[in-house]
Amino acid sequence: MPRAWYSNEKVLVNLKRLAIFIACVVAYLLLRQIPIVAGADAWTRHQLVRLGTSFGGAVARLVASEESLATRLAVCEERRATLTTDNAELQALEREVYELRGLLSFTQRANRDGTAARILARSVGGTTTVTVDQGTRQGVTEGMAAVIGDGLLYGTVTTVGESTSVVRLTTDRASAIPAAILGERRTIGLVHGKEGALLVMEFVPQDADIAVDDVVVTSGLDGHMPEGLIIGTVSDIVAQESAPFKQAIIEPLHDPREWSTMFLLPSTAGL
Amino acid sequence: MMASALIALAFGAARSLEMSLVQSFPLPYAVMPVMLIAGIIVLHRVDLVLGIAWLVMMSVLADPWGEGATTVVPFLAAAVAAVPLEQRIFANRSVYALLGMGLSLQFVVVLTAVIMAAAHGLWSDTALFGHGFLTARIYETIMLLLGLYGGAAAFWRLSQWARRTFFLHA
Repeated sequence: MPRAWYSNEKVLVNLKRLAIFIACVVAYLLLRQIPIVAGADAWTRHQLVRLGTSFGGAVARLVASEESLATRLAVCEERRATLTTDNAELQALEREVYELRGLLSFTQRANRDGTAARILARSVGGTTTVTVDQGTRQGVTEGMAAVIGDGLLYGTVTTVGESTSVVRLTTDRASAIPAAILGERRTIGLVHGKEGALLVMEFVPQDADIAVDDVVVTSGLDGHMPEGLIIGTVSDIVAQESAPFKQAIIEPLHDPREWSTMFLLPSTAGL
Repeated sequence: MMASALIALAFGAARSLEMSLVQSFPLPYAVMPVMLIAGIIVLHRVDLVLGIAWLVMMSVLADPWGEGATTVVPFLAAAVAAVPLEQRIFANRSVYALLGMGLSLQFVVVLTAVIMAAAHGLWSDTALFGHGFLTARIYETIMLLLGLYGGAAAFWRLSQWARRTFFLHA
């Protein structure tokens, strides 16, 4: 009598391997729910983010100018003898201190309560979302503004877990931030993520008095986002004479990949 | 069975590496598809079933293109295509077969995504994928091939170590 396909020894071995693999991955995900494991996991992943951020910055500086590549190479070779892993750690710490100083300056100036958060992971592509190490336990709620440096808007909290949260960056296509262009007059509208690293404010009335280099800030009109957080500056204005509206192309003042810490602001009154 | 547990461990490590370390690098280094590279090596060099499971779980848990749930379908197509590719076309264990396997799977994934985007465009005004999608895939393919080439050598050393340490034969 022929045996059923699933009783074939090879199939059973494969199924067993598959089951163990899936069980281990699920166990890994479940273990990360335990606070002590979650803490260790968050620490490890943030160190990777810090390492990547500092190393990425160094690589970007190295390849930024081909003209000075030979000079930089010579300098690097000279340094190679003396650089150690402590130096890399020092650079990461320096960057973190720079970021935290900016946040501290912002919190002192704005006199606001909030939660400092560290990036644990970034979405692939790097311009849509980041996962941070603060969640409901630390009082994080959906709609909170994520701020970097001295009051630059980084994104908004969209999903909150017990000990982690997801921040949607302003550059994400799904992002919509109530904003105001500070020109001769204040022009309000919604700022969306555009392709690449740019942002766009659509449906700006043709008679709105805006110009290139005008500063764009949050308007706070949705009741969640604090008012006055800097989004970027107007880099271009797209207008068609026959159309009732024009578009303002906005350039953010930061590169999302360069930051590994941020400040989550509660959704209350303006600055 | 130890191999399955180690592969799962590698899955978690590759996920953390890609999402925390590699994504913090500037472009084009940030498009290095660490999980896909590791998945293809597992598929080609360790075990076809585990490799397929890797690709499917990766598309569900890691959002490999940052495009949300739409990514799952192209990677399911790649997982299906991997069976005949591994068993009939790239059956030998050379580096060239590995590179061919990676290139073929990437082709299947991108082709499926393009078909999906075209079908989506028939009834929607919004694009299914971002503007730089295909450009990012081109960079990703180059990084994939470089990563597979380097990864094959690294895997060989790692497997030698694992054999000596854990008496594995995978």
